[in-house]
Amino acid sequence: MSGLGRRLAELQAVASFRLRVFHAKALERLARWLDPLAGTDEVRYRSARDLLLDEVAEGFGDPDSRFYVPPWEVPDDDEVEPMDLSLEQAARRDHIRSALVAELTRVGRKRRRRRQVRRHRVTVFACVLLLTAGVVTGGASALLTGSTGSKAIDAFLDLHAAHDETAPMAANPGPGTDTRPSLDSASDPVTLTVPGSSHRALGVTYVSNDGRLCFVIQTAQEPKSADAPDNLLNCSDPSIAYRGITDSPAVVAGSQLHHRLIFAGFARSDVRQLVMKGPPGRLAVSLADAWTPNTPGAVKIRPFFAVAATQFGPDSVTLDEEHGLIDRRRYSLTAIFDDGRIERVPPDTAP
Amino acid sequence: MEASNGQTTARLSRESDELLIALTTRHADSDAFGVFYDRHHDKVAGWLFSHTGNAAIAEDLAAEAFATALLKVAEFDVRRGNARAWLFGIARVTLLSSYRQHAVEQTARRQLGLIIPSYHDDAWLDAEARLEERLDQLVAGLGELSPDERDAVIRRIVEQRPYSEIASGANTTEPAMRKRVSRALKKLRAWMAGTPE
Repeated sequence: MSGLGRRLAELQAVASFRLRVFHAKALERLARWLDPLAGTDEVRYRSARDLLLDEVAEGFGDPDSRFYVPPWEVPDDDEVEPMDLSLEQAARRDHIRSALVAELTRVGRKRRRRRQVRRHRVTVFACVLLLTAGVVTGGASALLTGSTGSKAIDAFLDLHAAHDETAPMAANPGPGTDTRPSLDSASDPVTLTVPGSSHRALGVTYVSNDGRLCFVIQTAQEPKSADAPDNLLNCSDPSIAYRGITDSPAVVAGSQLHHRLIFAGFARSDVRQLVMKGPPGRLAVSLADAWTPNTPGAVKIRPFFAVAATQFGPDSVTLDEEHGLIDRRRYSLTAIFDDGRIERVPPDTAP
Repeated sequence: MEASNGQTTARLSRESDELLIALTTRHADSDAFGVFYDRHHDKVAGWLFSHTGNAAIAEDLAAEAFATALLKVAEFDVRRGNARAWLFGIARVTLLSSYRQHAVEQTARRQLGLIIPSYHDDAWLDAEARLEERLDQLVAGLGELSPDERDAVIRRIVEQRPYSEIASGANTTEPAMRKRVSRALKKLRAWMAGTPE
């Protein structure tokens, strides 16, 4: 090929490249502008992750997804020469480091103070909630005494007891139990997002006076009906939780189907995120901060609540539907650890 | 107290980036973030220097990248990439954002109330000119590749197409296509570094 021909080929290659870059970038910008949740990042990372990750990581493409560069764009350590810094630049680097660390220390101090106040409030809140509600009135008491006042829910409880192979829900804790919270042993409260609803609820786990671990959910904003319990109360023996998380990253300790389907349980302290899927779709899982209950043989645990909007009222759901919704074998639970490991909860312990 | 801090730092320096980030997020652990900063600062600044050719600007961009990392640390998601890649991603976004607005990005540091170091405007113009030059170099470097390699790089890197699709379009296997792209990128890097193979 002559010199001129080669030059023309080069120019053609450059022009073609520029056109392709322009085209790709324009499309990307347009896609981002139209829908920040779509865009090329999703395609890029989907192709790079295996099926499990793909399944877990629903909703790629938040505006900050551009921070996640593909591996080939990250320089290896030996590809980057550390910069030679002048004294002034080194001082500036150290100044920035100190400022960032100081900011974090300030945030940490503030957070610890807030947590202490919150813990205190939660204990008081749980006491007041149970005492003023009388524990033995309304929905919470219904769960304790074994009757909700609604045939459908009673049937659910029977079904649940028959199929619950992991841990008994304390639908009937028996006489002589004292489910009032003992002082100074409650997890941080966690806000529960209810899918398909703007309502929020508050979930708390605490050690009861009889030494069990209890979950309580306050759903004050829910629409009320005569037989609609506002509160979920569920207690179980702590050894179920401690033994459960020895064998598996997370264990479900109880569940309830009413206006919502709710699961409550415990995860290991190094679990960062839980993903739960089942017949109603994906459940919104809220993990509380790690907490060591004040009980013998206690280990650090993270209580969790999983909520799904079922669209079923307590009296409109058929027994078959109920069975499908609460059959724990139809749910999958996946734990993501702090260090990035992902582990599926074995089927016999999954909800 | 100092000895205890030293021990903590020594212990943390053996931990993974992801754990340091998790500690920063969950416990606002300033020691963990400090170790993360020390581990990556010089490399990030070095990478920014390789693009801008100006140490003051590279340092300023690195400061902004770390301030952004601190502000966004709770949103770090290990499923999308490791912490080092995330940090370089932030550095890249900081660089491109600065390039677009013709000045070093300062949003994160303003948000944190950090004093923003100043630099001469000419320094930024120089850096911008260097960035332009590198883009031109990249285009010229692509022209040096064989047509097959050029096509593979453009389809993979620019258009983000999966290897399987590129390979089937070129009547070859996926591993062979991966090798072709990797070889082409190596050539391109060498070209941009001024040491063509």
